[in-house]
Amino acid sequence: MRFLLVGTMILLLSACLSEPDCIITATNEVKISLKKITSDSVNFVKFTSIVISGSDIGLIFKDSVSNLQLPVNPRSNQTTFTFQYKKKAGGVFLLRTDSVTVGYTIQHIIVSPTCGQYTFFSNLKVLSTSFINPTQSNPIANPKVVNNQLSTSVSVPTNLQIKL
Amino acid sequence: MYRYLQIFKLSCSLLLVAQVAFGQTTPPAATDGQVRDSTREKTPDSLRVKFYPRAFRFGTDLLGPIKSQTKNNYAAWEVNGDIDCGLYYLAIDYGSYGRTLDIRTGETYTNNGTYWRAGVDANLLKKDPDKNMVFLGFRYGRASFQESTTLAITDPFFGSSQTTLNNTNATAGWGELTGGLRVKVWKGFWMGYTARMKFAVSVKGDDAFKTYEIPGYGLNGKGFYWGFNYQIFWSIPFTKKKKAAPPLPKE
Repeated sequence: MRFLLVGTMILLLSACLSEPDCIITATNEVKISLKKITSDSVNFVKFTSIVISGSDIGLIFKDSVSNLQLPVNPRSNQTTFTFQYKKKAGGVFLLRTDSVTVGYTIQHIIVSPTCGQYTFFSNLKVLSTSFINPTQSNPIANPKVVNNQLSTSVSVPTNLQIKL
Repeated sequence: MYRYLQIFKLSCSLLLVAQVAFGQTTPPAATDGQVRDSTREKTPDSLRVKFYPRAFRFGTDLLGPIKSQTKNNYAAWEVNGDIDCGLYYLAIDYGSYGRTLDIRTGETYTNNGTYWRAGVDANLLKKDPDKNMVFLGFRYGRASFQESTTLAITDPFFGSSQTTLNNTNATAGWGELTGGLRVKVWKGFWMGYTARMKFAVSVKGDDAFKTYEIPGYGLNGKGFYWGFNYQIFWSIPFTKKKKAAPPLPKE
């Protein structure tokens, strides 16, 4: 019996913890895809500026884009994006300004001492917006949350879809 | 995890071997002129008696104090006690845990708290004269603790900052399946180990950041978590053993 005790103690002492893999998908960037207001086809839009609340840095785009990755404020549970863009109406391009305010849940997680700690953003939702509803008779959400978890993973291609 | 499973399987195998070995009794050799009765001699089963307290055993974990001496920024101790009620042992543990970790450059994590566990062990060695134990059991554990971490945020849009996050009144509860050995080494002195399979942890009060470590449990997460204690005990019987009655004189 005593040999069994000593033997199992030595055996169990040989065990050690293994570190988790440091594959971190945490990001504070919202992936936005732009769609045409009349259909679900991709819309290339020329933004003259995008302003993000809580940041002094404004974004200026040279070319038309159909996808955006915009950061949310990690020190606040909501961020407002203000878009200034050119939209064709009646054969002429008009300068429009629209905004969307998104809310989210912030969770700080320590993955491991070697991997570090990261801030995860989830439960993304649209709090308010000035984007027009594409169909007044049958209203749909615009912008629409496609995936409410912010992630660098390719399995999350879009968080927010905006028709404009 | 796979390594732990292998070790657990091997440990279980050893325990089963021990149980089988102790479950067999060597029949006494027939002496000259004696013919053994074909019917099996009935021996009284000392453990098949009522459920009542026979002895109190108290002890401590050895790993916590050893690690406290050898590791920096680590302080842990645990005391254990159980009451021998025959086949079943009512067990209770109480411990303290404190730790500071360097996560990355400029970031630290600190945890400090206490915990307790209560449950029952069942001795699988029913006929051992010393009442050595190979046991299986169950525990319910609870911890109350406080933890803090420094969080460095570096973002090209929102700038850099460092903040301290605190979970000041966090609590956790969990269940444990336990197994192990208790061996009487000398008089009232016992040694043993307890292997713990911990599960179903729930944490409350971790509002500032997700709890990383739980005193008495380990790393916070889904699934099972394994733990081991290497323990020494001293046993105090509640009643003295009755001396065996002298054999009746032959007429």
